[in-house]
Amino acid sequence: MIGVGIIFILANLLWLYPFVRDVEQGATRYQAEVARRVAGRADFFLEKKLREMGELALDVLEANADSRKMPAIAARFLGRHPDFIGIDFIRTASASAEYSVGPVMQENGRKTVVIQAPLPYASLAVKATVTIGDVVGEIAQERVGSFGRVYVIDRAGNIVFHQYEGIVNGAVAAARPFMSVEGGAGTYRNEAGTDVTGVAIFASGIGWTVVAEDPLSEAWARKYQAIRLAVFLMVLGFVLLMLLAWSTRKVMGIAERERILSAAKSEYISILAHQLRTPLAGTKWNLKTLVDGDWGPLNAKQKKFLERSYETNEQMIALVRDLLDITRIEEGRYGFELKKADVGVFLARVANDFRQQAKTAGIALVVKKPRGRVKIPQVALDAEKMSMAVGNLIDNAIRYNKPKGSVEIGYAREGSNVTITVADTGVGIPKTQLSQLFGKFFRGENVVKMQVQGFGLGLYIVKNIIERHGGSIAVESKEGDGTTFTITLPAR
Amino acid sequence: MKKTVLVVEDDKYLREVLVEKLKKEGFDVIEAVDGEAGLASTAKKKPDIVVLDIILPLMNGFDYLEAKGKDTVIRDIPVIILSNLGQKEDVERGMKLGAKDYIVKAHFTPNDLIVKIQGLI
Repeated sequence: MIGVGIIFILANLLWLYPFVRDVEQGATRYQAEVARRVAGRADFFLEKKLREMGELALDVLEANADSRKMPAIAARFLGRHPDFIGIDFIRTASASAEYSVGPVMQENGRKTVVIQAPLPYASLAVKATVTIGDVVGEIAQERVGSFGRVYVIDRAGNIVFHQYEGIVNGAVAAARPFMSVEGGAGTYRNEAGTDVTGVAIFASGIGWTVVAEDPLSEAWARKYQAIRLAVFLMVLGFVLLMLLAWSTRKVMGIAERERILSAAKSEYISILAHQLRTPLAGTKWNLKTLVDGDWGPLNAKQKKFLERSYETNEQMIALVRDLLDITRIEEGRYGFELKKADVGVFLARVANDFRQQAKTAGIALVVKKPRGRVKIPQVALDAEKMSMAVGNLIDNAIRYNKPKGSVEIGYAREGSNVTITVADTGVGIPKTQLSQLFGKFFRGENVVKMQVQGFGLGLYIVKNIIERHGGSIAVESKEGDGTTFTITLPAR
Repeated sequence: MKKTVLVVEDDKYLREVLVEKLKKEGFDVIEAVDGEAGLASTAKKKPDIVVLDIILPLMNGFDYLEAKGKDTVIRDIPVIILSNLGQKEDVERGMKLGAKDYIVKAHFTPNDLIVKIQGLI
């Protein structure tokens, strides 16, 4: 059971692990895409500004870098380019080909950067203060999922732009351990206290780092769903296993309880029967010695009534015996020892036990051999139990017969089976009652009227014995004409 | 010379009728009401035959047979079991422990028992 559980959990992990990895990689890919786009915009912004600043080069060259003309050139330029706030020309010792971008600053509520670029053909450089509102506006349009943010920091770590309103512009951004100059990816808790996964892309031109971050709850939503599904499946599997184990145990428990109950019942009947047997035996012995005249002669009436008491007592003894047999049959404790036997020999011996009873009742009892030269195969019998079964049928056939009736016992081969028939010329069994015949305590209505003693346990025992031999019993009867019982046993 | 029968039976009702019947048939009869007393009487009086019940106080019939079988002096005294227990395994157990015969009380008469006793001694 535990093995099945472990296999179930492993099978779950088998699909879960690659799925989760895909989700994580997918989220990172997506964030990197956004960040790269933003970084591209930032670099493009710088390029554009540098190009615009390039226009100054021609004017400065025309003015021959005359410092008196410079303010006018700057003013003209500023007039053409409203996002440039200020222009300064500075003399440089050596003409540097390198431009530089300064940190982000707040100026009159506007965000600006200072871009310094060399002017060709002159040992001058232009130092321009530019608002970055346009590019920030563009970046602000970017989205990382529904809840993700983009933010941009400059080289000093100052926040250039942050989509999260709670972050003060210009503040120094929290250090992200995974971030290097080249960028990076990782998970962290952001300033708003949300656990996020982020990707940093370095915009090498402008020198800004763009970070695209997304709350784990969104970026890894499918991962969490998958984990939840896996956990659910595991719990479900576990619960099912437990249920299975529990129900198995419960079923076993029921079976166990039934076994105990049944054992207790049969123990009870067994004790009861044994307790009944002692006084019944005592009564039997006392009556028998009296009837036999052991204690002196009896007159005819005394003898007759004592004999009746003796008979009644005998019936009680038979009932107790039947009850004990039934208890053992129902409990499956009725041990069967099957041995190969010749049916003809077996039937002759059983019939012999009833010769006297048949003679007394005036009934002809015959065992009829099969016609012709038929070889009857042997059958596996528990001779003691089967004698009881066949004997019971013969006993019934004699007792419920008509005066001068007959009982015919026959046997035959039928395919791979051997049949034994016990046919009488008795009172028969009403058709409506045939189906109940083999039940416990069944007695035919007509039989009850005849005042023949019996408890109706015999045929129930007979059926059980025959079934334990792998056989079956059937009955045919016509009320008033007689009854034929047919036992079918498998030949061995 | 009269033969002696030891009847080990705890039921007074049964014991009395059996003792009377045996006496009438010309036996000397000794009685015991439990297994221990039965074993003591067997050792002391050395009867010719023992009629033994199985469900007995103090020591049951099977234990009696086992103890008797270990005592070389009384080991060969024949025993007929007279019991209410009639199941095959009970009969087999009794016979295995050395009983000569097994009678289910309710299915036999005192006469049947006399015949069996006479057959054994």
